[in-house]
Order: sequence, then C-alpha cells, then structure tokens
Amino acid sequence: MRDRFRAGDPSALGEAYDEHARVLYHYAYRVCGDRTAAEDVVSAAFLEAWRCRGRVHADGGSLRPWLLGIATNIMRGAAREARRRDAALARLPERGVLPDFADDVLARMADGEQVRAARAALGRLRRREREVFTLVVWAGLDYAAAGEALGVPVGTVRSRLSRARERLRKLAEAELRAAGAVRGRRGALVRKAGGRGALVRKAGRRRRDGPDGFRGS
Amino acid sequence: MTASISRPPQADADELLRSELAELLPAPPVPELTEDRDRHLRYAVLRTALEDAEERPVRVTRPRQGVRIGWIAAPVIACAVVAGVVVAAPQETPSGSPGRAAVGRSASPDAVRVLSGAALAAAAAPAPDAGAGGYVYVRSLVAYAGRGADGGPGVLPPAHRREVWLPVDGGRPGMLREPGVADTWLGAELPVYEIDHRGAAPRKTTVATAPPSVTNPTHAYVAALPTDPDVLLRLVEDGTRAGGGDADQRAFTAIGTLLAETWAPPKVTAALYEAAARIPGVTVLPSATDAAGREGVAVARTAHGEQTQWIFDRTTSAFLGERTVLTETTSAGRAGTVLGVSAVLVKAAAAAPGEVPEG
Repeated sequence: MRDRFRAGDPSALGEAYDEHARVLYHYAYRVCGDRTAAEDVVSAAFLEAWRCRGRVHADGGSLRPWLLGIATNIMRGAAREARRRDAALARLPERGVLPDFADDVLARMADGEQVRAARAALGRLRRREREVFTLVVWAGLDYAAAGEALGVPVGTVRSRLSRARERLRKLAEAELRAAGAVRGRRGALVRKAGGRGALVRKAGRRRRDGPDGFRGS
Repeated sequence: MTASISRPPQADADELLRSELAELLPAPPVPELTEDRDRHLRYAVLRTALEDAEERPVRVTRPRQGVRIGWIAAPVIACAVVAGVVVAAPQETPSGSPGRAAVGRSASPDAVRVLSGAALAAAAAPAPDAGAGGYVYVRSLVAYAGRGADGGPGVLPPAHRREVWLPVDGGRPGMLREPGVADTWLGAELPVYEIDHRGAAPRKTTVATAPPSVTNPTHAYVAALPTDPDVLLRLVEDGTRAGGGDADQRAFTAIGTLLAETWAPPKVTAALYEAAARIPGVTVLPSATDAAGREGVAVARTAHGEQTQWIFDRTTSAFLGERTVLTETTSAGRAGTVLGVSAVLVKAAAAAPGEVPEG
C-alpha cells in the first residue's frame, strides 16, 4: 500500500482516502469547529500527501500519522486564511443546513455547543501542547505516531502532554470554583461533569463517534 | 497489543496520562461526514489529484492552490445553493458562461474611471524597498463580524490591529500578529519524522510548502506579477479557479487581498487596478468609510447577497481599505449589515519577522 501510494498508483490514493478520511475529518472538525473547514482540510491534506508522495518512505506503517501531521500543518498555516473565514462565519447558516427533523436539529445544536466549549478550553493551551493533545487524545494516535506526525521525539510528546494536563487541571479547578459560586447557571460555556471535573459535560451519546482509536505501528 | 502481559511501566504511565487527559477534555462529538458529502469529497480529491498528474506531470501545484482558495471562498455546495436563490447585482453575468471573456468585459464606466485614477496614482507611488532576505510589513485595522453558533445576526466587534510580515522570497515563513493572540507563523515548513519500523531512529524530512501563488504570495512573487492587465487578470482567474460561486467575484476578492496585504511595485499595483476594471459587474459607491473612519469613494462588486467594497482616498486615489456588506436580509443580519471592514495603515520594509519598522 505504502509502495503503491509512493509510486503514484491511483487506487492507492482511493484506498488511503477510504481508510483515513473519516479520522482526518473528525480531527479537523474538532479542531476547526466547522464542517466546511474540516472538509477543506481533509481534501487539502490528501492532495498535499499525493503531491509529496515521493517522500513517503518505502517501508513503514500506516500513512495515518503522516496524514494527520499534514492536516495539522494545514490548519496551522490556515491562520492567514482565517481572516477570510472569520468573515465567512456570518454565512454559516447558508452552508447547506437543510431543514431536518426537529430533534435532530436540537441534537446537532447540542453537539455544536460541546464542540464550541471544548475548543474554548483547547484555546487555553499553547499551540504545541494543543497539537499533541488533539492528536493523541482526540485523534487517538499513540505517542510514537504523534511524534512522527509532528516531527518531535516521543519524550517531547510526553512533556507537552503533561504540561497540557497541568493547564487543564487548573482550568477545571477554576471551573469548579466558578460553578460553586454560581450554582445552576445555565448556558455556561464550560460545564463541569461529575467525578473528576471534566471541562466539558459528557453526554451519554459522546461515544457515538468518539476518539478514533488507533495505534500507530 | 499481543504482548501486553509484560508492558513496561512507561507504557502504563503514558496510558494513564492519556486517559486522564481524555477525562479532563474529552473529544467532543462531531457529526459524521454524511455519505453524500463523503462521496463528493472523495470524488473531488481523486479527480483533482489524478487530473493534475495527467495534465502537468512536472508542476503539480494546482490542487493545493485550489484547496487553499476553497478555504477562503465559500465552498462549492454552499455557493451553488445560494446562487439558486440570490439575484445579485444587475450587471452580474452567469458565472463561467463560455465565450464571455472576449466580449463586453468591463466594469461600469464610473468604476473604470475610479480604478484608472487609482492606477495612475499607484504608478507614481514610491516603490517598495524590501530587499532579498527581508520582509514586507503591513499593518491594518480589521474587524470581522462573528455570530454565535446558535445563530442570530452577525455582530461587528471593534476593529483591532493586524500586522503581517510577508517574506520577500519563499522558503521562510511569514508572521501574523494580532493582539491577545500568540504570533502565528504563516506557511512554515512542517518537519516530519518518518519512522521506518518500531524502534527505528526517526528520519527527518519536511513537507514542502506550496509554491507562491496568487492566493499565497511572497513579495518576490507579487513584484514579478505581469504588468499587462489582461495577462494579469488571466493569471488571477487561473489562480482562483477552484472554489464555488462566481468566478468574477473570486478574481475581484483575490485582487483585493493582494491590494490590502501585499506591497506591489507601482506598475503591478496599477495593473491590478486595471485588471479589476475589466471585471464585469464592478460598480462605484459615492461614499464609504474604512475601519479607521476614513471616508472615500469605493468600487464594489456584489455576489451572493454580499458586496465587497474597496475604498479609495478621494484626492490621492490611494487604497484605504476594504469593506464587506450584506446586500440582502438573511439570518446573518439585515441588508446593510457590515460583515467585515479593514483599513491599511502602514506598508514598509522590515528586516525580520516581528520587527516593526520605524515611522
């Protein structure tokens, strides 16, 4: 598969798409918080991968870490374009949201709220921590694969993740205090859940399409 | 996972850290890629990638550019939907109608006059003095309307400062600085470590950055743009072919971005204005105000219920800034709602990214 991709076999591109597109899409959606942007990232990542296919080494494991790394880079480089995208946000409802069953729409709104809250919390992390965090925790890469995706040693993945943990813990504690002060506040951006103070309320249906489990090889 | 009986303690610690993080900030649920969108996306990826390989065996840069534009402009589907409903400016020609290029290509006579004036003024303006290895620095004030994901009309926040360092030549990243946000590298190369097999030493490679293009320019690229307006317009149209909706609007918007956030030599700037004057549907607004409160005359183009305006100083014909306004009432707001506004304040040479030129 790797060899065929590298050699420019079109069927290998199709197979790579079938195997990895959804994972890339979920990853990009969680990071961008927007369907259209996520689709753009997915297609840009595959096209970039195809363009650079000569750089894929002949032997190795799954293409997934490499693809996720490319997607990360695209989202990082997208800051310039974000200027336009910010303007485009005002157009969101036109983006193909077709009339639907009411409860489905409600469910979607709840989802949107959770994505927003999660992204707000994510925004409190430094970019390097954030990238490692989303690759390992949200996209399900193991440490070695995340290191491969980002071009950093495994030890760096570890240290960034523990910095992320410190920061998120502090954030969660602050949230708990705030929630204690204003009890029963509705519509809070970040909610506490039971147990250890997760930053985002965990809905029962969260696991529906939760982290895309993957262990790089 | 087969050898999990004797897992080293490190692996356990790693797993513990991961699960703790997952508990602190679990992956938010996101909607599935619908079958329809999936099919569409798969087809678009394969077609673009493979078409490109056939037509241009050497220069395989188009898909990346195309996608970058897709990111900027509204996506194909969205525009197709909107275009079915919206009747835009009366001058609007159906996008992509064949054979249109040769006949009757032009903005309104008033717009041609304003743009010609701007071209004349630009041709006499000082040339950029950014040298090889340096950066072009552009400072502007910008504001873009945002709206909550729960809907409601767009609200324009107060304008904030935006600073960009654009590398003169490729191979080095640019930089974006906005208050309250960490500096962002633009177009940095991503190092990628290839791991050949478990336990192998990682090999460092990089993912090449896209070559400069109309929508991803370096200063050297802008400086070398053709000065023949027809040739330039064709180049802009080629560079913005991907993306949805109205091709003329895409060209107009791309030129606007070049005017706002690059520093082209006088002759190129003049050619950009003259190229814009050849875009059908461009009209004049007697008065518009930029993000810094400077009032001037504007040329504008409307598509899909939105009008993009370029504001010029009345006496000097200098480019002041841009503005985007809703021309129809939608859920994003009433007609007349300002979606975005900018004002170009400084263009200067800088020695290094992050370094603010004096004066």
